[in-house]
Amino acid sequence: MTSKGGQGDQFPIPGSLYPSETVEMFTRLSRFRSAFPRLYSRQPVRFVSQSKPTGAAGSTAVTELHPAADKAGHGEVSQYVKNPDYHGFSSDPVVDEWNMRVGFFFGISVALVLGATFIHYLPDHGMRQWARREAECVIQQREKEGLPLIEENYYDPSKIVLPSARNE
Amino acid sequence: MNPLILTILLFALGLGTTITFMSSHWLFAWMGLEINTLAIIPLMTQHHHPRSTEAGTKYFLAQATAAAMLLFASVTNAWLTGQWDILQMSHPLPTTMITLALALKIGLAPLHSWLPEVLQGLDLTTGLILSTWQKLAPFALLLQINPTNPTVLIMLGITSTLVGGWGGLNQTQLRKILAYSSIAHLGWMALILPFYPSLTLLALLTYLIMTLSTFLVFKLNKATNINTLAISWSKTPIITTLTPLLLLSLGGLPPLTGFMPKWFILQELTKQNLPLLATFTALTALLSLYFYLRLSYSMTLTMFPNNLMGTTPWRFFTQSTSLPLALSISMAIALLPLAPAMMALLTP
Amino acid sequence: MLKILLPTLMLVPTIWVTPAKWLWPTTLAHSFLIALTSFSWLKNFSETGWMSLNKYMATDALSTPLLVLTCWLLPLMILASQNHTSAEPINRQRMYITLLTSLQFFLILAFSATEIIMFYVMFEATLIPTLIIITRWGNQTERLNAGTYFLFYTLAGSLPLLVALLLLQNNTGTLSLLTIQFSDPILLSTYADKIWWAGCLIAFLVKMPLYGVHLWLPKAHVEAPIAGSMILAAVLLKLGGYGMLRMMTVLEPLTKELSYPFIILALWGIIMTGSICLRQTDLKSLIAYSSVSHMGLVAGGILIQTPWGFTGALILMIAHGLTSSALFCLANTNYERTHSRTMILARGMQMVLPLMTTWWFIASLANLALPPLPNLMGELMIITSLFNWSWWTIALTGTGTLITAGYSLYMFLMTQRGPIPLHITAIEPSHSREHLLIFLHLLPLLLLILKPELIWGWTF
Repeated sequence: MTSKGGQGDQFPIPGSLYPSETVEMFTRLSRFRSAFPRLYSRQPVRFVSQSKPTGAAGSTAVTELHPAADKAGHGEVSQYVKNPDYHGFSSDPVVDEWNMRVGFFFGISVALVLGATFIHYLPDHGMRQWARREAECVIQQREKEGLPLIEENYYDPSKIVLPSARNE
Repeated sequence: MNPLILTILLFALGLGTTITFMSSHWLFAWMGLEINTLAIIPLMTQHHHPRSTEAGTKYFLAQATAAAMLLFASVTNAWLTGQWDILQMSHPLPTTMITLALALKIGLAPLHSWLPEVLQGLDLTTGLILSTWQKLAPFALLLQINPTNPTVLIMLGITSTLVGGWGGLNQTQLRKILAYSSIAHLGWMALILPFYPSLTLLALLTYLIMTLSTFLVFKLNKATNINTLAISWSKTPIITTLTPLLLLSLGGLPPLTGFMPKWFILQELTKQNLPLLATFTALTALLSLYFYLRLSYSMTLTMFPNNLMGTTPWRFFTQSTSLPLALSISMAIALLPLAPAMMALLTP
Repeated sequence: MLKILLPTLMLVPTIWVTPAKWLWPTTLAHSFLIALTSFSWLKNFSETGWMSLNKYMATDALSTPLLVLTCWLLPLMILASQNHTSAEPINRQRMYITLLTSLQFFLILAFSATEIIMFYVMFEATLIPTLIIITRWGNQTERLNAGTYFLFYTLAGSLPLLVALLLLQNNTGTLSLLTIQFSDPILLSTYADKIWWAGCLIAFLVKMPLYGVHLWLPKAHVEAPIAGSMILAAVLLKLGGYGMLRMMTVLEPLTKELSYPFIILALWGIIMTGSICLRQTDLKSLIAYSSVSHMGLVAGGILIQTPWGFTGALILMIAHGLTSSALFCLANTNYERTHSRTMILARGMQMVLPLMTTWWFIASLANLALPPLPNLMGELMIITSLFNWSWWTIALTGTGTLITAGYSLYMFLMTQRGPIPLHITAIEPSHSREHLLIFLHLLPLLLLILKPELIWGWTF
């Protein structure tokens, strides 16, 4: 026991449990650079001091380790104050702009335009028009050859070899 | 507890179950069950607390009654048929008596009343042993005797699923909820036992995995009532995220593991021309689902959007090993696609 | 099939590996590309109707429009959720998109399954992500109640369905959708067979929902966050209609008489829920009840078992999917500004958000089935086939159409026209994101006018 100030050391802060070398080793897997530190460490979000309030009003001191995310979604501060060109995507103007571009490009230029073009040039639905054209060709051919336009049998019955009934 | 004594007790616990597994003679089977019971009672009462003493006493009384009944039934069997072989039970009277005795041992309704009371008095580790390991030996016997008349087991099964679902609705204590959940699951196993014993084994196996992970989650959070669960997210966020899936798997929602035994059991029941029984059993599973859903609500789905003001849960970083939990929880959630493999494993 | 399923699965690593800053644009682009790829299912030139067959999955003219709708809805849900989740920690945002993705995964498996049991398992599997979306990301405490209602209504209906399906398998030996209409007709004569018939249909009628078992739907819609409402209205309700269309061929001889009470309930439900809409004060609840009313028409069209009825039902399902999803998005733009669903608190929005009014106008007109929108095509086909069955039905369907027009106009006038209340003079202008979102709902609806055979189903 050195002093009372050392009391905080007895409680390990969760984020610092893993040696930083280990984390760095993992982060060298460059594709997962942003994911691994997040998966391997649990960063505390905020600490609340429980010490006696020094001032009046008895407020607890709150240390924000990460600044709170923008609270403008609830209408306290309009996003347009910071970014007059706000598109509704993000509070960061650069991300906002790019997110808007990505949304419009992939939503309209890619998905709708390319998709509609693709659908427009599809072969006809269920191949019905194709079947009709084929039928007309067959009819014209049969008219030319003087055959009856349609026959009772789809296949020529003489060509079908059936097993005799007694074999069963 | 002295480590030496603890080791001896744990070995005796294993030995009892193993003797029952191996025996073909009723006297040995009974002996194994007794060794098993006597070994767990000191473990139950290791914390000197009125509740644990009460639990130990109740457990002892219930198990001693069951064991006496089992012994009586096997002696009757020997008297009627002239042999002690487990696999050759032919007379209906001792078979029924043994079925009832084993039902009392594992806590099938209407012989279930001791189970919630006993489980509530134990710590989570002993509770885990009681609701997993202690079910094995009686089930080994139940699977070996060949009930001539399925009515007893069907009645026990249907009462258990109903009582298990109903009893858990009004509970706030996690151990009691788990006890009722155990009763409901055992009901499904008893129900299918006369028709397709491999499915009983499958249901038992999935039940063991799911109960193991549930107890480990609660142990990790040191939670014994619903309120404690509500602040678990500050400790282990990932476990908190997975636990609703685990609980719904216990409730038997597809596509989670818990659906697998229910699906196969319903299929077998419809094959046996019992569609009404199948429908009724399936609907009683909704009762159980309600309290699992309530646990998920309080643990994860009503998680506070802001940070916890109390500091205690933040500081005690858990040092316990979580490998068994990780393995069992992933099995308890995602085993359904492996259903054919599981069936191939368990069908003789 | 896998060319859609694998990208959908790979969306999950994308979500968790992308840097926080680019999370939303990346997932949006990825899901739009999946949606574009899904258009390839619309290619239909097989004689049997089954396309892209593999061992467990296939698409046909009935499931394709619903599959494409499912894939189209994921990017729209991502667009819609971006604002209201922005205050959450980044991991919870990732979790949320993962949930939406898992929902799309299960829905694709459900719609493309060729085995009825597989369809059943996936039908149930969609419950879990939806439940979590409603109860975890809803706003009020009533969401827990709504989640319980949602889960238990659906399960109480669908557990008997499981038993009924297993019985069917014992009788026919197969549950494959490819062959089931060719198996020997089952002799259905006993009293138990009638219960079996009901067991087969009630799960889908609850999901649909039929009037009488619809109470879970308004609760779920009102309490769910915007993405939950969208997917619920657009796709999850259609699971019920799809399941009914598939089961109808098996239930053949019994449906003729046994479906009377259900048709009557469905048609009566159109009028009842329409009337409820007319006196509704809650915007989201109004749209939810309007869904029940439209789904009543769909149920009637399916139960009448005529080719026109089936086609009309499918058209109406797709058109209603896009329309009601758009309406929920519009309601959400109001909600994000006024923080209230009450219509009386957000009147006269034309003065502040004029372009939004255009979208409201088109969406309301689509909801009341204005010609030549696909909504009208579907309604007309169903009404005609019902009229052909019994001309008394025109009294119910005609009144229903009138009431639908009534409440759609009521909704439009109440929210958009009139003087602007003083307390909303300072609301935010509408965002490009919201315009894009509504536009991407309404443009496909308008484009479908040009090529409606895509959603005509079997009978074309």
